[in-house]
Amino acid sequence: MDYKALIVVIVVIVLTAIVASNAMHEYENSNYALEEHNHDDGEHDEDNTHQQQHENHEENEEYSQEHVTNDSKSQ
Amino acid sequence: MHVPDGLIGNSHITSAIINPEYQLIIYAIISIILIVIIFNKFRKNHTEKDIIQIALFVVACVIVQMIELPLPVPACVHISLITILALYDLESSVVVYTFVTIIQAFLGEGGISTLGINVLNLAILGPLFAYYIYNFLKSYNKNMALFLSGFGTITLLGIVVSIEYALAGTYPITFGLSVITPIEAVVGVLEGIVTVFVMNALLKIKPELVPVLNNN
Repeated sequence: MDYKALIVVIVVIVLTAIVASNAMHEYENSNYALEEHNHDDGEHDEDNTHQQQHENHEENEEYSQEHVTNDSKSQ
Repeated sequence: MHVPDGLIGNSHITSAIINPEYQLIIYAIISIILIVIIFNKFRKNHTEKDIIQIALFVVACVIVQMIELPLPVPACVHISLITILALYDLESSVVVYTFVTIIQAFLGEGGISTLGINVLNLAILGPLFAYYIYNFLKSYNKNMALFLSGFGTITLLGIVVSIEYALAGTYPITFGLSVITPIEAVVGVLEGIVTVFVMNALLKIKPELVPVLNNN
């Protein structure tokens, strides 16, 4: 059993855990956000397109209703 | 630690010494020069037979890096195998990591505009840190040197990235050293443990892949 290495590993792990927990608190209290790769970019775009389609659909419906009422008035 | 697209140049601080976009170009030029030198050395010292091994290492590294560790931070956190490769052969590790970084830029880790800075950090500085930390500490205890080499490489890369972010004005240096580096240190601990286990396993199964443990 390599006790020397084991002691070093345990000391490093304990110290890293303390520093990392402190870093988490610091991160929560800071005004900065870690920005890494965004896997949900596509989803976001998809949602936007979906919303636009929905809005277009609503506009079309309104337009067709107006068209119908105008037609009935003219008759 | 990969620097993603769009982060350098998106300054929170206005006191960047050189325009961050120019900084990206400078990093890219430095990387290209160093890569050309190292690739030429690699070509002289290696044969065509080594290319198969390099390809396998690239695949292994890309697959291992796809496994994201669940840490409560919005950062890509994964093991990198830099130390294991650097201790196998320094030139090969630079070649492997250059390809790994380029492939990963298309897989959502890092980015195209930040390819230069990522190659400089991960493919050039990473293996150099790993190799020299191990050689500095190996006289004390080999397993301890392996662990500290893995741990030290990732932690030092965290410090380097923090400095680069500070130079670009993305994050202040205090944020980099107090938040980014400790998070990287956690990954470093895992990298160190993996390095010790993998290197000892390889020593028993395929000793020719761990010349540093074999020779001494």
